[in-house]
Amino acid sequence: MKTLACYSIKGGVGKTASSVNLAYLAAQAGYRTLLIDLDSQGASSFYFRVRPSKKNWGKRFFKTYEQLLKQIKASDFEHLDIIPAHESFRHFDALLSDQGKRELRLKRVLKGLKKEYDLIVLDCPPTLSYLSEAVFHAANMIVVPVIPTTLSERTYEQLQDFFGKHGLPTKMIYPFFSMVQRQKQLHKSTIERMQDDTPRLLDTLIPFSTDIEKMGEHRSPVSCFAARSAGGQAYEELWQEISRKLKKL
Amino acid sequence: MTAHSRWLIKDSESTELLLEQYRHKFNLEPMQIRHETLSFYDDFEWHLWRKNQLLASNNQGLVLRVDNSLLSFFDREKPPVFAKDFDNPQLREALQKLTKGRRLFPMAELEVEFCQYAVRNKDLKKVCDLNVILTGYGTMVELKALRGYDKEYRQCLNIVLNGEPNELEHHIFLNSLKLLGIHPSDYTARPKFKLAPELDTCDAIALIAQKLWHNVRSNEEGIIRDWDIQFLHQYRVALRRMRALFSQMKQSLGKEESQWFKTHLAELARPTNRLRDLDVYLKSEENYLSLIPHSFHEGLQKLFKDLSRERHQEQKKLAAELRSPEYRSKISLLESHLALCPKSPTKKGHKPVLKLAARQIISRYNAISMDALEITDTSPDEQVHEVRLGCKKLRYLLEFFADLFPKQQIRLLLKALKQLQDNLGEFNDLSVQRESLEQYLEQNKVAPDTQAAIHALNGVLYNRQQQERARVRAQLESFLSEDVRQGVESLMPKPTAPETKTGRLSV
Repeated sequence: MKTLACYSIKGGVGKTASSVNLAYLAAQAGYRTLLIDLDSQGASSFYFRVRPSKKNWGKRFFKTYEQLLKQIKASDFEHLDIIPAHESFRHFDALLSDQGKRELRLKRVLKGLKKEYDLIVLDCPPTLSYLSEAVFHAANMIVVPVIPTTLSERTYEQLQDFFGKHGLPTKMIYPFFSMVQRQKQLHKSTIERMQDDTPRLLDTLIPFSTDIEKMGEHRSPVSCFAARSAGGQAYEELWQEISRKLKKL
Repeated sequence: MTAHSRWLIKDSESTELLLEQYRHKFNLEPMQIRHETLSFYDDFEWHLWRKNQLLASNNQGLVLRVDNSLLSFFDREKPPVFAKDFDNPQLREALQKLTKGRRLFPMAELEVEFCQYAVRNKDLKKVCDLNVILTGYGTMVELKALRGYDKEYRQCLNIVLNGEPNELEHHIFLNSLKLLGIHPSDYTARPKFKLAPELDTCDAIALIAQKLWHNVRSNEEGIIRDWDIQFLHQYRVALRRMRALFSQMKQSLGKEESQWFKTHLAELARPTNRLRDLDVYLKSEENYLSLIPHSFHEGLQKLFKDLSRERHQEQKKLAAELRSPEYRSKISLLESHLALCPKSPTKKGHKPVLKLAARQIISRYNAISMDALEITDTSPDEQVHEVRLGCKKLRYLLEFFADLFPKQQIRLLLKALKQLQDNLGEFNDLSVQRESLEQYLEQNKVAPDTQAAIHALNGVLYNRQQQERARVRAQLESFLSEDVRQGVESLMPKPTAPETKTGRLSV
């Protein structure tokens, strides 16, 4: 079982769209996949029309994996299950701050799922926190969507600094460009500059596309309702690139 | 919990009513509705049907498999002929194992309608899968739960249960085929003789012979049309068993009648020898190629091309023989004799079969034991060969008379015998294969690369033969063990101490 985290310090960079599409494509490729929506805003659950349970179960999240099993819901697609976000996930940081070995809690609880799943995809909230630290410890690979602007570039650097300070291996971070608009000069020059000096930058560019925006309307992955569109194809390429790397891990 | 259940609904009106109830409570979205005319396939021995399996094709690329009750679909597959031709590796392997390489024939047709629905909640999230299959002989309703939607599954379940449907033991396809009057043929490669223990031995022999004769005749058409190589094989096996029967039970039937059958049955078998040999060689092509280095492959492939040409000729010749008036008259002569058998049984022939069969089996085992004791690691091959023939005879006896004895006793003996026979058989096969390769070299003008390949192959086969030979002694030891011997002795119905009579068991 491999764990893939989709993470960014900055919000609104296409993180949820990426988690949803990557999880969908992995399942299509035959990986038994579980998408865990850690973001209490719950957008990725929304895309799969899955509602969280009414019970306030967030406080039991890190206890045992059996707690997680109870919350798993099948998506409409074969091989793809989801743990939808719950409002109570907002308190994860407070919850973790009280616990010893908090950075390893998530990793331990996910271990119990390895019989049932080949791949866990974590959709993470856009913060640097105890939760994200736990995510970094649990993941085998962290993909980071970056909008090619100066500001996004800076937040990506912040992430690397954080890894450095906490003794985490930066070699598990794989950035890729998201919401790219080639006609914008700023995007073009940022891409060219970063392509030269960013290690492990993935080749695929995810374009800014109306199809991806329409995911909210269709409430399903773009790769499902418009696989042939520019957005759909870009995600397919991104998945191919990531799956090759995952296999080598 | 992932629950899954299926029911039978007999008329289409109640099916409509059921769907209506679903629409009332949920969003029912038809995902796929298709009509198909399905041809169902099985082999000559109905291997699939007998194992609760069905194989169907719409003859337009779709293949369906029912494994007990589980239905799976395979796209882009040609209509079935041989299991080895399927593209999907899972389907191919499973069916190859089941059909044992036999040809698949269409055996029935059904008109089928498949309806797949997604049962959705108010968010339009799928909460349950509902499959409805209509065949004209009934409707099967199948409900599949989705993880995390147990409550909705229970609601869906109640909708079905309220209609009081029938439980469905098998898949609707199997039910429908049975209603259509389809049932497997009575042919089986290993017929059961179901002898009563008190039956006169001579009558038992006649009964066994008739059943085996049925197998001989049943395979003729398949040989003539060359459907698959098993037809010839089973034809020959049935003939060989009959000959073994007449030769081993001649004291009961009378020497003259037994001899007559033996001669005439051998006459039927003789023209089939070469074709069977060729079938066996051609079947081992892949194995042979895997035994020698790649550089020899081309040379060996030439040999196989040659053999396959010869097989084509030989098959034509045999088909013509089986169609000839001469063959027909041989058959009717044999059948008239079989109808009158036993003509003049001996005094022994009127004894109950159980006792005589037991005695025969015990004395055969003793005879093998005597021969086997003399075999060492250096005994000549001919001596090993003798033991192999003895084992074969014992095997036939056990097969003829198995139902007379408690299953467990026979099973123990059969198992011990099989291990020994596998070893001796392999040893003999390798020696026959080597001989025939050498013969081929002598009798044909062989290209140098083919010569080289044959020599290489012969070397490997020789090594294998030596390995098998080295195992013979140990195999014999376990066959002669106390367990097996006691098992054999216990076949005798009354404690009349066969040991003292034969005087050999105490060796």
